[in-house]
Amino acid sequence: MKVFWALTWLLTKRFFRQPAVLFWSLAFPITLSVVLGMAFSRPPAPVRIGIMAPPPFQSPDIEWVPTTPDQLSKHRVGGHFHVWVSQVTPSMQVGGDPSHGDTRLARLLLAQQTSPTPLPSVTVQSRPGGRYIDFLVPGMMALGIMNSSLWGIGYALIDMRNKKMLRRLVATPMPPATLLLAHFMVRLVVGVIESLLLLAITGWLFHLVVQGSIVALCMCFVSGTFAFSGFGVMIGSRTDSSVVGNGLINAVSLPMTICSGVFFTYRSFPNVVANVIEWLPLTVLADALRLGMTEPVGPGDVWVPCMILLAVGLVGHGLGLRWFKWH
Amino acid sequence: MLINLSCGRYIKMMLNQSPPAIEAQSLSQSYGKTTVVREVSFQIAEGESVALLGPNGAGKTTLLDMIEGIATPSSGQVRLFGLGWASDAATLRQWMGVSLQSTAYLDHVTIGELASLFATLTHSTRQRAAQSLEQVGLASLSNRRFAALSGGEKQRFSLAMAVMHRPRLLLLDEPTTALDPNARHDIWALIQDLRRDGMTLLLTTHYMDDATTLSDRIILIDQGQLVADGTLASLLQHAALNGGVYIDTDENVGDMALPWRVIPHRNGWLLTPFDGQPIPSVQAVWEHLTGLSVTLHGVQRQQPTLDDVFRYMTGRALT
Repeated sequence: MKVFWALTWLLTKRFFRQPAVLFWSLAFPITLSVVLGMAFSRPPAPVRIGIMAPPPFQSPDIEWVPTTPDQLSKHRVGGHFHVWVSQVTPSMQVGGDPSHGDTRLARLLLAQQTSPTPLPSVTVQSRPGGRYIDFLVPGMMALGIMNSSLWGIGYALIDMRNKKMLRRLVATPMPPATLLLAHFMVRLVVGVIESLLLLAITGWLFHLVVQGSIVALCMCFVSGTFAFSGFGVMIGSRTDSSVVGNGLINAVSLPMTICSGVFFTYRSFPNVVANVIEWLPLTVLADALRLGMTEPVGPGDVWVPCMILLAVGLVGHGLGLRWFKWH
Repeated sequence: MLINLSCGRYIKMMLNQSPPAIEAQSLSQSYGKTTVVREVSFQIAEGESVALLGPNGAGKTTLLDMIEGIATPSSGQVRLFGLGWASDAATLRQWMGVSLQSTAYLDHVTIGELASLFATLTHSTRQRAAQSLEQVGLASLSNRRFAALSGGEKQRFSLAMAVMHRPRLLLLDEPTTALDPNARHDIWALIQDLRRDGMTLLLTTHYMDDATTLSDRIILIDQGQLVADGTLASLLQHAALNGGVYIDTDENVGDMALPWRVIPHRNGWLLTPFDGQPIPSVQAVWEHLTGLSVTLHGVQRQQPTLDDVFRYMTGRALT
C-alpha cells in the first residue's frame, strides 16, 4: 500500500504541475459548459421570418425581416432567417427548409395567427432538470471522465514506455499492477475535482441542483472511471508511439463524443442508430449521470448502468493486461 | 568461433560451490522468424564485473532484458543467485539494480521527489535516497527537474536510483553512451567505487574503453551469438594478437600471400605474427612490402585492441 500511495501522490502532484493538462482537464470543460449554458439558457428568441410584403400582423413570437426576391439568397446564406413569406394575399406562401425546426415553428405560428377560430390556450409547467444546462452538465462530466482516463492512462502509459520509464519501474520490487491502480486512483481524484468544480460553477451561474442521491452519482463516477481506464490500459498496452496512441484515443473518443448524447440527444439519430448508440459506454455513463442529477433517484436506479460499466472495465483491463508490454 | 576462457573468480566460485550471480543457459530469443539471441551461455560469479561488448544490434539489450526478467527467453533459462524468475521474481527484483540507457524519468517532478519514490519502490529509506544523491554529487540539485539535468547528471542520477537499495547485482545498459569525456570519467569513477564495494556488475557497451576499464571480464557478442568470453589479456592471447605492425596503404594487401596474419584495421591493415612467430619489426615489414611494390603511406608498431580481437573472430569491426 505504501508503494501505491507514493506513486499516486507523485502522479497527482505531477498532474497539477502541468498547465496545459490543467487547462484541458479543468478549465476547458467548465468554460465550454458555461458558454453553451449561456447560449442556450436565454429566453427563446422570436422566430425570424423573411417577408417580401408588409407584415400581415405583429406577434411577440415573430421578428419580421424585410427582404426582396433579389436579396433572398444573400439573407438565407447569411443566416438572417431560415423561413420566409413570399406572398400574403390572397393566400400565404411560405418558403423554407421543411427539415429545419424554425420552418415548422414558423408554420405553426402563422397558422395560429391566421386561424379563423381562436385556439385553446396551453400552459407549460416547468420542473427542475429540464433545461439545456441540466442536460449538458452530466454529459460534460461523463466526457471529462472519458477523456481523463483515455489521455491520463492510455497516453501516459505510451509516453512512459517510450521514455523507458515503464521498463525502469518494472525492474523494481513494485508489483506491476500497482502502477495501473495508482493511475486509476489519480484519474478518480482528478475526475472528482473536475466535476465538483463544474457543479460549483454551473450551480452558481445557472442554479443547477443535483436531484438524485450522492451515492448514486458516486457509483456512476467510479464505474465510469473504471470502464474508461480499461480502455486506457488497452490503448496503452503495447505501442510506444505517441502518434499511434493519439490515433487510437481519437478513434475511440471522437465517435462517442459526437454521438453519445453529450451535447444533444442521440435520439435525433434514426432509431436503428440510436439503439446502438444507447449501449456505447459514454452514452451509458452520460445517461446514468443525467438520471442521477436531474431526477430524485437512488443507488437502486443506477445499478444496471453501473454494472454494465464495470463489465466494460473488467473486459478492458483484462485484455489490456493480457497484451501489456513493459518495454 | 566460440571460446570460453576461465577466470580467477569463476574458479573460486566453483570451489566455493556458491551459485553464480548470473547463470545463462542456452538463451535464445526469437521474434517471428528473426532470431535475435542464439544459444548464449555464460556464468558470472558474485562480485565479478563483466562487460557485454558488441556492436549496435548485436543482441546485448535483448540479452539484458532476459537476465532482467522482463523478457521470457524463447528457449534456455536464466538463474540469478540460484533463483529463477518464475518462482522468485520479488526477491530477485530486490537484489537487482538497473540503470538503463537514456531513461527519461517522470517529467514535472524533481529528482528529490523521484529519489523518494524509488526509495519507497525499493523498500529503502528517504535517508538512503538523500545519501544516494549525495554519493553521485546531485544533492544540491534535488529541487531540479530531471529534464533540466545535463546528460552526465542524468546518467549519474540513474545510477543513484539503481544502487539506492544496495543491490547484489547491478545491470548497466550502455552507461556512458552519448556522454562527453568528462561525464564519462565521472560515471567510470562511480562504477569503479561500486566494483570496490564488491557489487556484481554486468554492463552492456559498444565502447571498448568502457569494457576494458570497468570490467574484469569481457563477453563479446555478435549477431546474437557469443563469440568470446574472457579477460582482455586472455582474449588477445587467444587471438594471438600480442602485438603487430599497422600499415597505411590504399592497396588490398589482404589478398596477398604474406608471412603474417593480415587483419583490417582502421583505414589500413594490422600485420600480426602467426602462432609462435616473433612480432615483425617495422623495418622488416617495410622492406618486404616495398619489395612487392606496395605503396606505403605509413608503418608503425601497434598494440592490438578489442576491436582487432572482434575483427579476428567475426571479420567485422566492433565500432
